[in-house]
Amino acid sequence: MNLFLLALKNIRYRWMTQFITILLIALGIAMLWTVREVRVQGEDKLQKNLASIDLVVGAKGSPLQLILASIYHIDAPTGNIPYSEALRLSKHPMVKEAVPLAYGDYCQEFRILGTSHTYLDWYGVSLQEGRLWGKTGETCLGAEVAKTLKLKVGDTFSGQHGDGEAEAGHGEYVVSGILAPSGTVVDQLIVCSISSVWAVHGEEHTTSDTLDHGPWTMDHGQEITSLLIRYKNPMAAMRLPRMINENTSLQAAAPAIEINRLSFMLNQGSDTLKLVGYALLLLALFSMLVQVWMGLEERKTELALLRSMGFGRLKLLAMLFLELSMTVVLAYLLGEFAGRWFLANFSSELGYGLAYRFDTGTFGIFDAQLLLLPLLVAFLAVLVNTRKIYRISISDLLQKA
Amino acid sequence: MIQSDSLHFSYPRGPEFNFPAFTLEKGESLLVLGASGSGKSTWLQLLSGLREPQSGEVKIGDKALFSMRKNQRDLFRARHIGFVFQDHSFIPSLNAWENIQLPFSHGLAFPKERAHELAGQLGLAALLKKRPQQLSQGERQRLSVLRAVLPQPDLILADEPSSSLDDTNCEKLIDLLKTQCRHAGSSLIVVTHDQRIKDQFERRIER
Repeated sequence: MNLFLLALKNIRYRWMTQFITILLIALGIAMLWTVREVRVQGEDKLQKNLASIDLVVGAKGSPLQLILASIYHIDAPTGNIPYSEALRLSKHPMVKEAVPLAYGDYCQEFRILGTSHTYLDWYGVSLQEGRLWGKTGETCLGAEVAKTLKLKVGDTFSGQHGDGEAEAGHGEYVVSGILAPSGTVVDQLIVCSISSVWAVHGEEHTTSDTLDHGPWTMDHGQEITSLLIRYKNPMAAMRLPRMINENTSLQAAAPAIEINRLSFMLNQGSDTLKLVGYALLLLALFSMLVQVWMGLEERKTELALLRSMGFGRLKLLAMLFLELSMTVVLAYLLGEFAGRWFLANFSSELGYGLAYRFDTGTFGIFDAQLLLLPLLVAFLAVLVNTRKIYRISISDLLQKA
Repeated sequence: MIQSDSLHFSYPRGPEFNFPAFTLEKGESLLVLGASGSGKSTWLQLLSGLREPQSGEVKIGDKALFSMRKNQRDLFRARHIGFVFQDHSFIPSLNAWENIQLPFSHGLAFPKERAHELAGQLGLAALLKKRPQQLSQGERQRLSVLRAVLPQPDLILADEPSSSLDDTNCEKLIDLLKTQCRHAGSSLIVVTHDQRIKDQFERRIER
């Protein structure tokens, strides 16, 4: 019988005593993994979706809300702004480029967004299939949307108010194209022309194809949700927001500043959770150390018996290490699985909204570290008990006569 | 065959013991009888090479036990000496069949057919899938004998094998041990304080 099999059978035999330890280690690992992934992937998503947008202009209100709604699409907008104002701003000498956004309806949990073709250029999104939207009612689906809704080019669908149940006949859309996956928020959007959004909401206007894929030359008196701006030069960062906030009825918010503020707040929360995770893991590992120490007393006869059958001291140490390693590896796998399951199923509860899906298939250095720590403790447990095992002798089985 | 010189052993700041020389041929058995504190266990430890005497040597087959290095002796012991312990200890995580395979973990081929045959002779054939703790005391004793004789060691050392048994079981166990050792060609040394088994052995050393 080899050591591996013997260790495996020992674990199976003592599974009740190992159960709590395994559960605690798994919980600690799941917590640490989830907190880190949410932080790393969350920050990555926040940065990636900035798309070099220098300024967001919208209705007065919370600047963070304006950013979250206009760039990340995870909050309600602060209100609408007159299209004429947006048009005027887009021609300002400090503005290099501007993209208008108009919030439309939803299709299931996916938002329908009216914008110009430039919006896709900013995010580096290309077409995978079909063509870009042209006429009113034509849409392009983000990669994730097409996958989830199982829609293809030429299919039609209805929009609905809010992300609840569909209202039959509230805006009929046709799929003109499907966008290639980009890893940005666009994957989660249904994009169309602003005139499509206006048409659904009954705002009459003269349809013009030049309106939504620029240049902006027409003003029909309608409203849009916000305007995304890229500066012409660094000086604009100093002057443009102040000029808008002080001299107009609009609000200008710089995404970089708001996102730094948001990241700081999120990191404070995640640091606390990380501490709890480490505390849980260390407690579990310490309990394993104590369990091994006390368990060896109970197993003295068994180990002495193995010694009588030619198992050397090193072999006994190796067996103990194998037992502990297998236990922590099992706990680690459980923890990694639990963390991934939690993130896959509850990411919408973490404040990133339904539109953001976390990647649960990643494996990096941190995962290896999470395995290494319990393995080191297992090794330490063996080291601490080396003396005890070296003192185990067949004499322990003999009667003191 | 086991051949022991007169052995002398003294514990540091403890009692001193002198043990007589003896020779035991293959299949022969010897009873070492003595009260508590008479040095029986010390003798058993010396004969199995667990302790080194201050003087004297033990030869098992043609190998001198105390001229070997400690780790060589450990391996030699595993291959050439079988033990029967008083409490008939087993590895609780393994079933009976796996327990009797343990002495073969170091390169010896496990004699599967002989194991089945012996298990049948000892009335254990139907119990091999059971864990030791699921067996009765009598079944555990027989399993303990099976585990000791199966590798056909040169020497089997039985330490107080009968002390927890009633008279009938005690006699049965000793008979079983002697018979199996004879068939396996192993020398048997039983160390005990149990006077009940005295008459079952022709060769005795009383201390």
